[in-house]
Amino acid sequence: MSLVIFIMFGCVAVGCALAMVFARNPVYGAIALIVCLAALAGEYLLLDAPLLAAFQILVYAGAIMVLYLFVIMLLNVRREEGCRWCTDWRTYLGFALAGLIGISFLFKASNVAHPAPPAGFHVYDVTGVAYTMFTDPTLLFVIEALGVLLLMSVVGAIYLGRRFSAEEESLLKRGEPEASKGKGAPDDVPCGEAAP
Amino acid sequence: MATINVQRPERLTLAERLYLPAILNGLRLTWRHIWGERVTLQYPEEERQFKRVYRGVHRLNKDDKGRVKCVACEMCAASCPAHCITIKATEVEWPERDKIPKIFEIDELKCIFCGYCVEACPEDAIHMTRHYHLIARSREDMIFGLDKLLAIYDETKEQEVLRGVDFGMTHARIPGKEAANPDEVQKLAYPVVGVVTKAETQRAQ
Amino acid sequence: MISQEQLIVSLVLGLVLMLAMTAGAGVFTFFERKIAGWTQGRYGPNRAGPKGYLQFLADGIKFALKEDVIQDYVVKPVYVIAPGLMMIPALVLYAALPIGKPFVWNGNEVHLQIVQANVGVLYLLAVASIAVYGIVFGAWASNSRYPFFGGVRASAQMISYELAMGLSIISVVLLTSEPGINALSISNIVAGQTGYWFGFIPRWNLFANPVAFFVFLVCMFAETNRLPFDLAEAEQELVGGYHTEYSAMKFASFMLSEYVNMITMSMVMVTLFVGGWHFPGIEAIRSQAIQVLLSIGAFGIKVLFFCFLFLWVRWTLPRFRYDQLMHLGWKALLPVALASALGTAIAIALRV
Repeated sequence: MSLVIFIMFGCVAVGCALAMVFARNPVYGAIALIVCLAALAGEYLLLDAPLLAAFQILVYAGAIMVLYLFVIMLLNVRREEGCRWCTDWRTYLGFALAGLIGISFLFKASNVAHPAPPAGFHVYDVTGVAYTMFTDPTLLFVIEALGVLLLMSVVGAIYLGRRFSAEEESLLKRGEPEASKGKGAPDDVPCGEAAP
Repeated sequence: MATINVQRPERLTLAERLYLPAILNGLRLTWRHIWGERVTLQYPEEERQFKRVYRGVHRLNKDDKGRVKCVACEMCAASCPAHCITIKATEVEWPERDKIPKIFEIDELKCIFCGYCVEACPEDAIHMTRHYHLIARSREDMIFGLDKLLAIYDETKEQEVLRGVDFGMTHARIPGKEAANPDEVQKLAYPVVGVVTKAETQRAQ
Repeated sequence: MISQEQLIVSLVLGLVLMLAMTAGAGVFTFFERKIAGWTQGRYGPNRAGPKGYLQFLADGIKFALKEDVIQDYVVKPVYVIAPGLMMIPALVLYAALPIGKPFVWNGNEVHLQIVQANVGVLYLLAVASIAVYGIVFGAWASNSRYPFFGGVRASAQMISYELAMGLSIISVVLLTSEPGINALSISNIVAGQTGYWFGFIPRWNLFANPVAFFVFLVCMFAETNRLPFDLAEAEQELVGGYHTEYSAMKFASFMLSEYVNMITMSMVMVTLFVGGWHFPGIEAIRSQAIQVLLSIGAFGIKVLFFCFLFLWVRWTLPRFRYDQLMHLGWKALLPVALASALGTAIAIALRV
């Protein structure tokens, strides 16, 4: 029973992924991606990983894809023109790479030694996940580094995206940029008529 | 263009910037209103009670013999700014009158309810009642003829309505008519709309 | 593995709650208009049926019988599914909420909860986060300027306030967390609120962390797009917001999901902060049946209070300006929520 549902979710995910690649209308592409991510969340759920599933929905479907849609809708991206099966070399390259990855998975996936989870560890157990995350020094470093990276990109995005007042403009010309808003209150959350 | 300078405080106080005290105040106010008095009139059951001088639908008065009081002088038609009164006269051999209207029509759709006809009438033959339910299914039905206007008189005979005397001018010249009381005229020069709630109506009854 | 008793209770509860929520939303619209009238010194709808209580039925019938206009210029597939997308999160969100005290039936413990998710809190957040799609797609598919503006406003607002809401929920999770207890499970969160301080103050999270409660309260209004944060439907500027181009049943399902959302958010609020089904003195009741019934009743009354609060606030406050809304969300609520989460963490660390 659960295997059937698993395969169904898998088919939906793969189908939607393909639909996303081939959709002419970017919004349809985004919708397909959302469904694909949701189907993946379903897979996680069936694999006894509700925590991962919840985060999948929360982060990818709930936050990132909303921003994608925002950008697509706000920039009013047009439908792609041209033939459906473009004979562009990039398409073939993409397929070739995807096939390569698939084949390597087929070969490798069967004989990767999965480390056994620590005793009493459940994937849904936040305490367990947190314990692993914050006690393993290498993992901790990776996570912190990722956090700093994200923070840097946020600061950079705000610095690039903000509008400068005349005073700040002149300050910039004198070569003393005002410190950009550290945390970066995203005042300019994309919204239809925010920009004056 | 007129400019009004509004004095605004330089900075809001902390309490004002938190919004919260103001919000709580507002909530208290609406809470009181939820349990407060209802001012809506439940129309078909309750009706708005107007002052005596409200200018509603016209009526044509009858004299003490039950005949139409109008002498078809067409003063009202002449004074009507909307030209909504049509009068066709016919001759009669009555001791006090030569003419009465054969046709007297007021187009209530054209009428602006200014009351000039009431003011102009030398015979005090046209009044305005407090009726305001003007309903008809066609434009033709809204042209009120003699029969309708007289019928309204029969209906509202008992009512104190807007009379020529309320305008305080015409009737001084007519012998036998009551003279205007200037105080009353001043007070009632404009029909003041008053609301009488259901409870008050019941109390009055 | 789920016991048979739990399965029966879950199924029955699912059916009952589903019907109750949709019907409740209809009744909610009626009371919205009624309270609107009362606050303004009017009577509110009082013609349809006895005292006007059948007004919501009349409205429903009207919506069902109206012509369903689909304009030529809409993006049809998306336009058609958008109201459904709006309904789904509204109707699945409450699945993880316990509506009454768990009881023992045939020796099995039964929770009055449709799904006993291990990650219940995350489930709530996840479902709440996809609620925005109905609005976004509806607005975009309408292919018309004002709905689009409304949709963009609504989604920007929902994303912004979701952060503060999540942080205030973190405070709750922290308050619940104890060694050996899965603090992400909602029934544990409610169970953690059942004690008393000094013997009489219930251990509701509302009293434990009023700041988080307040932040959640504000976010609740923003998430459901209600006044004072209903910029998505600002009639003066946007005609009708994201559902301008919708008519008949499609519009009705937008409306209905808005009201269902309000009820669910009230339920979440009660569950996380006001002790769920717990009420002072519940321990004194001997009979299990009465205890369970009273706990359901207490939950219902609390939910009704917050539903009323929605209406009360709606007819009290004017709408915020858009920049005020964003300032409040990012510059006021987010830091406050962060501070409250941090404060809670520190307090717990010091206590242990």
